[in-house]
Amino acid sequence: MPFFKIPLHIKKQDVLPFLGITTAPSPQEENLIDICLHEIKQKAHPVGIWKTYEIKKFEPNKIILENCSLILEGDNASEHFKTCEKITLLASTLGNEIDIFLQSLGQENPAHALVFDGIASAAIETFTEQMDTYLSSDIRHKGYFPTARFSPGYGDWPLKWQKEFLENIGGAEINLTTTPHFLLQPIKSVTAALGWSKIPVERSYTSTNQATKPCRNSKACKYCKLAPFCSSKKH
Amino acid sequence: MTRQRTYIDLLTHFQLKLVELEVLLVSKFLTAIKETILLGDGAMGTMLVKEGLPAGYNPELWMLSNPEKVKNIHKAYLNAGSQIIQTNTFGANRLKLKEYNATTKVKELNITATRLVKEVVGNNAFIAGIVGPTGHFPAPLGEYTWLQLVDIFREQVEALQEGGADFIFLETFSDLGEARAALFAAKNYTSLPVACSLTYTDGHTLTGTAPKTASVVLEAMGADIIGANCSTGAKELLPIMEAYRNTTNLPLLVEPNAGMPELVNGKTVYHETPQAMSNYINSFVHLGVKLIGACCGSTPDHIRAMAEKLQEEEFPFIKKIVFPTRLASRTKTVSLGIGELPQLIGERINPTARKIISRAFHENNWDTILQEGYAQVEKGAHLLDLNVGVPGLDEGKLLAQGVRQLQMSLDVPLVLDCTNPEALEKGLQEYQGKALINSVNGESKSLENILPLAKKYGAAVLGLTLDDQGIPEKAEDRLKIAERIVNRALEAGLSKKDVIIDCLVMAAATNPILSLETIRAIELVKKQLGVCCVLGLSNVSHGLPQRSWLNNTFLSLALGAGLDAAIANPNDSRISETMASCAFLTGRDPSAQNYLQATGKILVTSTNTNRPDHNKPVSFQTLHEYILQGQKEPLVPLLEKLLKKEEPLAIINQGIIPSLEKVGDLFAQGNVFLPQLMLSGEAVKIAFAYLKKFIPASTTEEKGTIVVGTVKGDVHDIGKNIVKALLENHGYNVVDLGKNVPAATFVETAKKEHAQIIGLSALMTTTMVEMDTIIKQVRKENLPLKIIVGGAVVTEDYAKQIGADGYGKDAVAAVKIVQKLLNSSKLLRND
Repeated sequence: MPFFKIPLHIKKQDVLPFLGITTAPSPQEENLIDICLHEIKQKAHPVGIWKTYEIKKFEPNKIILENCSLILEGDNASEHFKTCEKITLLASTLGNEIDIFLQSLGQENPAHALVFDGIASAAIETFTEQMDTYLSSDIRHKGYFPTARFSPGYGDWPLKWQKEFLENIGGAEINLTTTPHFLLQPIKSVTAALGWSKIPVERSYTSTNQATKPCRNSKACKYCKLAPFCSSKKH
Repeated sequence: MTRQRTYIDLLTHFQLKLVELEVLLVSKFLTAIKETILLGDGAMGTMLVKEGLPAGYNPELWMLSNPEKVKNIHKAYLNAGSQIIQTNTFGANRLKLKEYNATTKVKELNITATRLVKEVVGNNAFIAGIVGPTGHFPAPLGEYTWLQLVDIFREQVEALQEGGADFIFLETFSDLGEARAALFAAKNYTSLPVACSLTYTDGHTLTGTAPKTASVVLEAMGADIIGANCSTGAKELLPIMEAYRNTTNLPLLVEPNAGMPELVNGKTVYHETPQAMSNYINSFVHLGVKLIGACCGSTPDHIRAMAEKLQEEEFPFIKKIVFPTRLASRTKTVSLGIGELPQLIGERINPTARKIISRAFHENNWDTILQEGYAQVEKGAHLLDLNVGVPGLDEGKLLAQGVRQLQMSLDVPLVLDCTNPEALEKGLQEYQGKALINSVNGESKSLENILPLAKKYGAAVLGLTLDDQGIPEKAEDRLKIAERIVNRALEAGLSKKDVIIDCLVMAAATNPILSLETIRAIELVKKQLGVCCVLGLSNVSHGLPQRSWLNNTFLSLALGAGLDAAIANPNDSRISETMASCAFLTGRDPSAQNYLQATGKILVTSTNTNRPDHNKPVSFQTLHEYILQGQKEPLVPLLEKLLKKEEPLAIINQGIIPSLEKVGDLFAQGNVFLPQLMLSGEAVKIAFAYLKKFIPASTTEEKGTIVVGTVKGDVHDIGKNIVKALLENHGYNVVDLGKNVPAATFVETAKKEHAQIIGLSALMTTTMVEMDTIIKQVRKENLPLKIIVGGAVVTEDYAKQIGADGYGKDAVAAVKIVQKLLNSSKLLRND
């Protein structure tokens, strides 16, 4: 099982959208952001894993993978991956120390907790993006076209597949699990499928007009790649 | 006897001829690169797919059964004008082939691929033996050690040489550590020139290396050509190549992506047409790029267009730049020398005089070591000295571990403080930057053992001016030793820039006059040898009181004599002050920017404006400002003064509440963001807590109790915590049940606490349904409770659908709803 482990490379301007800050931060905010950027570098232990599967067959509204019990279910996932021959499943996490730290901050320092939470969200997004870049480069080198990432819970791919996702990819190896309600633990984690398309594809999302998409980051909702297609009123 | 001598002579002669021949062959490619610009070829992956490579097949293994198709691609590029043709061996390493159960085919594939190119190009183009990444970074980022990766690359590069490649071309590396392993293998196990190319996104590699640092490390490791490929298009690679040009005199290479075609709004878009791509040739040529090709998505048409453009170009003269001495971590370069700021090397990770460090090494407690590293960097260390010499412990193992740990967490370059060659080699293998070896000295044994390691692993050396006779008293004698060290370093293949001399300071307590000999020695070494000087500073004050006085005064003298770096204790704040002052006074900081920053006169605005101004008028306006800005520190002193002229309740009603409302309004208008709102809230909380002591309990108004929590199954509580904090700021009594709270707990707690409102939070669609359950239970028991809901996925429609009394789109809205609901219930009660 290949592991993906690189140091966090996160800049101040990357985190502002996750804090809902759309213009220049106030001096006090900037100060807190600096502190949290320092803390996240010490407390985050980002790690990712991935596994690539051949697509066995396309069935109505679902995609079956070779030697994998995870099913890519729903109209949106079927549409998204319809030109693909393979799927890379990836999972990434910042580790449990983030959860513990957030918990300890939560009650006494809500402003600090808020900023740290936003920065941790930015960190896992950045890390996953780096992992995506790495895997996409490999996909391109092999003559395929990578799709955009698509995760359980996007569109009509039910979140319940999170459990199967982690079991197949070996989430336990990076201490990544789900709650009985299929929320990822540690909290700052991502799972996603990346398609190997035979033909050029838009690295964006097909319409999710039936969307019941639970956004991962409400604070960054308007920056979400799904925004134009999401029926959530938040966008 | 005669016969034997003749045989040896012949053998020597033959060997010499072989070496000459080899040099001739090697120099053919390097000479070409030196004298002209060579055009490379384009993408292999997409071309193979066009030639019929089936999905899921390994491109290299497919080549064995389809050699003619691979040759067709080579021919197409040769005909288009390529002067360098790349072997189809990008993934022909043991680790990549493992995915196809073909680990035994490394040699066969690399030799075959080289042969196929040779059959096509003959003597009409150079053969680039392509080596791609393994897909695994060296530990601790990946699971393979650096040495294992070296071994994997060794197998491939040896086969490429055997097959007849003209040079080894390491390409598309996204981690400097892995590139360094491949480069090490190519330089040490072949006699071929080596080109090394990294891939960049947003100005740095995947693991955070910018081109200016990559050039320092790759050059030190012996790369003959360096550059960038893949990544992005030509336009985006221009600044990368500029950064290379400004940091190295080596020939450069560039192979941008043509960009894979993409569908945009349903149309296939080619990002870089052959014409568009060739338009960048001129810019690259003027940066001194000597090998230009193309990567993913390119075709022979791209190469043809580039060939035409190249013919029009005149080759510019590229001026050589004189660089200072440079040391680097994987992500940061530090320069030493004339015109550079003096650098501080933190000395605190050293078990010799520090029991806490010794114990940490004994107990494998790397957290302590890391904290020591962080602390020194925070105090201003530009480099960190790492000494792991603990009697009875394995120095090599510890040095390797220490390097791994520190370079993973800190970006300052490391100084490996070790004189045991075996142990030092283990540390150097792990280090992914350009280290400074501390140290060699004038003794032959030391020079023989350490200098080759510095060359082999791309490090610089710190040379102590002592030898088997000890430390000479006279500066001139120390100069002689320094000269010996420099000359031996040059013989070992290092440059003068890779040698830093320590003229050694002895304890002033034993003979104070010798301190001035050290200063004189620095002047002599700098003047006569032109190398950088460093000093292990603290020894000067050994055995004396007020060590900081002596250390800093001596540092001033040494910096005045031209010292470039000091190994010292960053916890002594005077060291940084002395360095900043001396840098300014000795002309190393001509615009005084460094000095002003050190004095705090130029700082990031946040720190500057954060500094409270205690001279502000004692007024509600000042209170208002502090609350709006979220300034906590000056708040209580201001309230103390305000209390002398205002009643506590007046301060609350006329000072705090309007400020809190104002910041809420600004937030609602989008003029203030959530973090600022929270900071203001925290300031208010402090103000309330302070004023509470001065208000009789009977006069405080009981505003109401709200039970809040995140519903069962949901583990997100940041939003709920914000609502809780804001409600408390507004004076409500909030009972927080935390997250993952069952319905019954909400209901029971509300009853027990005589709450008026329950606030429910959920972030996920899968968990927000739990809100419905709780509301039903409250209604079933007919409790006089209002329920408000909120959270990322919760909408006003959903709130109405499940019968909630209120919905807050954000924390400010939640507070307003609570106020409204409580007012209406009071009105009802009053009725």
